[in-house]
Amino acid sequence: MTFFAHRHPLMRVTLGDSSKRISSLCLDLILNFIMTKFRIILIILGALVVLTLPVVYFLSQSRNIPVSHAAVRLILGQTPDYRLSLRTLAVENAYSSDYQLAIPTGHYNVKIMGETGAVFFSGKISKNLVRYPADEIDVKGERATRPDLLVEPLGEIVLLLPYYPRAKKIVFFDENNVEKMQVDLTKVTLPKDYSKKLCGNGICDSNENILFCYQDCRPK
Amino acid sequence: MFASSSFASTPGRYWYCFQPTQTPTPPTGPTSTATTIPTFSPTPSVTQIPTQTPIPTQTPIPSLTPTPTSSVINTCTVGNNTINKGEGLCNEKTNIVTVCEGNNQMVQKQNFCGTGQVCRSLAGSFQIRCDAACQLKLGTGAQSKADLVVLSEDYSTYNDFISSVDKAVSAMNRTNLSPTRLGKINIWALLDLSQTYFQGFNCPTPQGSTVACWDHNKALSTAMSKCGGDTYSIINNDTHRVGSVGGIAIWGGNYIYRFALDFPTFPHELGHSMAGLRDEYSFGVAAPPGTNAGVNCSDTGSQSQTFPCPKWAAKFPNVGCYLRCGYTNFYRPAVRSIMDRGGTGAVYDFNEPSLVDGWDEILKFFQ
Repeated sequence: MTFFAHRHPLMRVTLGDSSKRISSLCLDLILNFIMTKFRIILIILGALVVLTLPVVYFLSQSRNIPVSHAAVRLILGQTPDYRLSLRTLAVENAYSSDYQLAIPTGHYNVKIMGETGAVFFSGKISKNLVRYPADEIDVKGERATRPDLLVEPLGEIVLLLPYYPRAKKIVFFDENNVEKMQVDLTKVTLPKDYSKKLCGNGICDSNENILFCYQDCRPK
Repeated sequence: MFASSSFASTPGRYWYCFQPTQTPTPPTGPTSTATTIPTFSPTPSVTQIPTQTPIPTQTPIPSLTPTPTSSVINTCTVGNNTINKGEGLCNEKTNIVTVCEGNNQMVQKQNFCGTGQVCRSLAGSFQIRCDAACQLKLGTGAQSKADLVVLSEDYSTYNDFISSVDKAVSAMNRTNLSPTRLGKINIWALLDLSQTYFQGFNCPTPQGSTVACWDHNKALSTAMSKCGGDTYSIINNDTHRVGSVGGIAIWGGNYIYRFALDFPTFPHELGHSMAGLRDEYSFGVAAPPGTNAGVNCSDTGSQSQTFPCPKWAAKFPNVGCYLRCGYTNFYRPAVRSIMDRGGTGAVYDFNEPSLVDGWDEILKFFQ
């Protein structure tokens, strides 16, 4: 600064004349500069918003994301002839299962659906309790267990499904995709004590990343 | 940023304005520009030397005998030990921390480490260490994988339980599931020693009874809600033994005794509870009519035991057809495999139909 003050003749003159005039001129120039830049920034921001809004709207419509660490707890009763009934429905602070294991011993297909019939989630749940013979080690003499594979309908099915705020219903189908039951989701909401701050629990949640929760999301 | 970019490009416009703002002293004459120079030199007020000097009052007073007030305020006595404020004891079984708050006050705090974390005991130390409740023991933790959660029953310390889980994982790695299949599975150890799942011996079933049973819904629900599990294994610290039974499985979960971790029991039971495979050792009885043979047994034999059973001939030309696969009248694809009897001399390899029609089929939706 000192260097330029010495060399710039205009500066020397103005400094010597009147500080009031300089101040007023400077204020004008600064305001002018800010307003010009501000207008340009506003125009750019406006254009960005106009361009981004439809994309965001489209994405929100087409891709529904479940709420991190919130699960729909569903307890179903099942009769020996495979009739289902709803016992419990609530959203809680919990992880959910993927329900993507293929089930070789009888299952229901479960779908979480939106208003327009869009499927947010689909999976398979076991409908039978299948007991395998106990595994005995170095058994001598008679086995302690009966050998048969026992299959019986589960009396109660406990599910923890992902929670989609926009979901309207859960629908259960049998293996032939015949609808068995519907559960209305329009009245369930997140619990009052819902918390998604779980950094440090060992699981890299969908709302965590390596930058903000290294301990959970570091490469393993 | 402003000064270095716009300034430099248009010096006449902006230098002209900004320079006077840096001259707080009014000019004394037309040639007074030179007098503005001294204002750019740092003023003494910027110097912070005095504040960097430690204040004498903060210096601890050297004393050979600590004053009674300071030691009591910041410490507690635990047995023969004096611990500092903030230190304490962790009960891993209950996840309760008894923390020193000074003045010899020890306060019990449940869930001291917060949601999803547990306190850990450190040998020879009263420092409280917090750790993740879900400990990843196999896999990357990616959400696209199948999650198996190992639960504890009747363990007293996390280290003891974790060493059992490590044995189980080691057994998994000894099998021929290979990185292709094991790479689709995360195995988690849930650090929660307070839960019990065992329900009793000789539990009634519609067809009779089973040697032992546990609360499947509670175990599955715990595995799912705490670690996002798809299936579970309970390891019992040998407190509810039933003779030589090393493990019991139902589809979706299994119950394994600690002593059996020296054998291929863990992967064997997972063969049932995850892949739906059948036992290949002898039940000593023939199959009742209409019994489903599953993917690793065949109800129909071939012309010789070294020739594949008809159901495997096209897909698995290298397997055999050996009499006895659980039932005495069923056939197995290999002489020995992990779904055959356990114990001494047991093998850790799954046969080909078990790998492809069992494991691959079950895991086909995972990556």
